[in-house]
Amino acid sequence: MDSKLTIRKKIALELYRKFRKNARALHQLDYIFWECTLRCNLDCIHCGSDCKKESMVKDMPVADFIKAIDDIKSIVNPNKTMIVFTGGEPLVRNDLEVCGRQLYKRGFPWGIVSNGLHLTQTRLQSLLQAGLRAVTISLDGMGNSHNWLRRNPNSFEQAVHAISLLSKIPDLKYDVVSCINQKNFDELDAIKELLLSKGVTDWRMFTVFPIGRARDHKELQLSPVQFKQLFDYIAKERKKGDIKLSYGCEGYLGNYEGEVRDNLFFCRAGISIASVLIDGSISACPNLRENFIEGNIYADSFKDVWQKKYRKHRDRNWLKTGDCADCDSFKYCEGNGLHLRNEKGELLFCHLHRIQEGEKQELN
Amino acid sequence: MKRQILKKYNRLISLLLSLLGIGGTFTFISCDGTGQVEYGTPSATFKIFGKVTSEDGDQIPYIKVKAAMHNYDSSYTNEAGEYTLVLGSFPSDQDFYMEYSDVDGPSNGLYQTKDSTVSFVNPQFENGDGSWYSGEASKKVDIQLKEDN
Repeated sequence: MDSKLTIRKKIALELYRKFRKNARALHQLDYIFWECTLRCNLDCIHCGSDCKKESMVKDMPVADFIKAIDDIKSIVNPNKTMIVFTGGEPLVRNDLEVCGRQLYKRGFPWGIVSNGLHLTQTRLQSLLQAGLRAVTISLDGMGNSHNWLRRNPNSFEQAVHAISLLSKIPDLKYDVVSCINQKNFDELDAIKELLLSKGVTDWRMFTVFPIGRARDHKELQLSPVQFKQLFDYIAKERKKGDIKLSYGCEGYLGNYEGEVRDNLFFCRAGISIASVLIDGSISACPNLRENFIEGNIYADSFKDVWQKKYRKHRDRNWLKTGDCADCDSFKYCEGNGLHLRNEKGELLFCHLHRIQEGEKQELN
Repeated sequence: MKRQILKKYNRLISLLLSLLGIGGTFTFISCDGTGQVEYGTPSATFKIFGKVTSEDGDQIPYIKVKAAMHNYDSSYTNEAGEYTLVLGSFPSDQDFYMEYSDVDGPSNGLYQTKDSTVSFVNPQFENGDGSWYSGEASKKVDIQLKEDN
């Protein structure tokens, strides 16, 4: 398939413009990330954050985060508001269960994003007893390619072990997320077979954008042709239906919208998603740059910040500059994901342009 | 009120998109119109239904039924005194603090408000999507109200 919109997609995208407008007006918070640590047990080539093995930044005390949650509780429906612990590697903290129990008591579902290295049967049981409801495990290829990216010879084995542990818990929701790059691009079928053999039902892919350590590793990015082929692969696999494969929420994809993930593209950062960062900063998605920080839980009320701020997240017209200024797709993508904007607000990566580039190269 | 309209509007758009083959109805509607984001949100539907009668066994229409302490939509009993309340929640054991109140004045008798806890213990969900949505669990709860003299 190609990126040019069909009539059906145009109708859908036009309808979805109204959906987005309504969602912006509602501004209903339903997803909170907590950057609970910057410490990590790996030293990956790619990382969305600037975490370090031995971070100098202290972990945020659980009580401080819970206080922020109590502050915002009156304007959310706890049962419909997911709280995701991210990092760093959340499992390096020994008190996740303390926080989890506090959240569970308040009715919030919570989950973690983990590399799986520290996940043992004992720890998993302990987390489950504290109300853990969802886990995302990173698996970035078969043995060599995963270990290359994670820079640890045991990480593949441990990640697969973690997936095996999760697959045995009947009510736990989990998925596997893979960073697709030049090293694992030819392994997609093998990864899929591995996941199916472990009983995995949900598999999500994302691609590297120039942020964090990935800025210095160009080989992590797919070529334009590979980039387009990835979406052809996802669309084809979704039709087979043996595993629920999808592309992450990160960019507008033209006619691939509706083919490679369940939803049409909508960057919800600051519209329904907030994050509390390690230093107390209140932001939207945790991988947004500092210019998107709206407040700090140590100085501001989380509730007030959510209700009174986030203007540049909700009105994206200011992003209609540079390549976006004259782009016909702006009405559908609104300047792509906010995490793809640098400190000056300039767009670092356009998914649609990369796909179109791949189409042209394929034709030549 | 405006928020309810916007939510319903987005549910309608979600339905239209489903008809166009974009997304599943669940994906958009289950999260109150906002859909799955990066990791998905476990969710389930809890249906509480039953009949509200007087101590004499007479059915009572127009009794307001709501889950107290939650911002859920309320429901009313019909002419036969029957009600259904559908609540979206977290797929685990749940206690819903229900309130049954007479809000239509003396037209069909006056009744005292009654509070009741409806507990779902080890709920059995049906028609989940095999992913984040566990499905629906239901419970029949009949209520008797005392006359307010």
